[in-house]
Amino acid sequence: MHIPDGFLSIPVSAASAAASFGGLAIAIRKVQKKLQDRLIPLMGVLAAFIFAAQMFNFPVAGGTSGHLLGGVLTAIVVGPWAATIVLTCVLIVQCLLFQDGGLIALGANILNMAIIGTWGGWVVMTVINSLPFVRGGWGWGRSAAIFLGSWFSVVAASCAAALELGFSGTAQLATVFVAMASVHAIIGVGEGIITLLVVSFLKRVKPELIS
Amino acid sequence: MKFKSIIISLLICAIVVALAAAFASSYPDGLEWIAAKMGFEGRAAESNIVNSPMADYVVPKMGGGTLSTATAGILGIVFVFSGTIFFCRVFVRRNCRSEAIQKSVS
Repeated sequence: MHIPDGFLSIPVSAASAAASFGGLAIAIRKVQKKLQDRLIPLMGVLAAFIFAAQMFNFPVAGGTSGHLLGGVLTAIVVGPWAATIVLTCVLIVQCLLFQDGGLIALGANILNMAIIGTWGGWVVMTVINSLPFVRGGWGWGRSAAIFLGSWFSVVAASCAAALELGFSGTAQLATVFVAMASVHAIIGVGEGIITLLVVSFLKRVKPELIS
Repeated sequence: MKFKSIIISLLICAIVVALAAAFASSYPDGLEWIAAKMGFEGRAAESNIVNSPMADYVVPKMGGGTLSTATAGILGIVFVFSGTIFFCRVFVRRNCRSEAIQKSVS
């Protein structure tokens, strides 16, 4: 879902860069308050894992592929504010070293994946977790929250990207929105499954990581 | 996070990279696929602001095969890991420390 340079207009690129810069500044402030030194290496490791997992494209439907976004997964371990920072670092390295995502479009990519995707998924997961029949203990309710939250993060991020493409005049807004949402609704299933698997693995191996 | 845990976790990341290099799908991702279908993929080729050393996740001098991709991925892990720690130390932690110094001085 990394948008290359050339797809977005300058105004859209600037606006999304401003928005993501603002969001990142808030995230940094929020994390500063409870940043402990031992959190930093954990964030580094999570970033490395997200980067590695994002290299692993899996085929979906006819002729396209998807990969893990990892926003909700990271948020489950270090909280959504720190997750924004982790995802941002991954995106910056991907852009500069691997040309995965444009430099002018970097603000949009950070906004879509590190902020909108991560937080959209986090909110969905939290809402489901707060439902009366889910609260209290693990079980299918918690798993559903993780799955649906992760799924939504991918769809939300792709819809944000579609809006940017539409407002840039690159593609017809309604068409690209439906196309992006549909394709990523399928990719999101992979996100949900992978997130669930990794979270259960972490719960087994290092339960203190999962709140 | 304990040093041993860090090393083990990074090794796991390296394994994921190796598996990705060997088995990842080469189908275009959702956005690329839609760009092709809707006809705007050509816009990406026109601009090349950043000439990245390992574009498309390969090491140019190593060709375009699995080993090249895996090497690019391993280097990526190193940069992402250290880059994130650098970012946190410089941009996130710094203000904490200066506040602590101000409090101890006043």
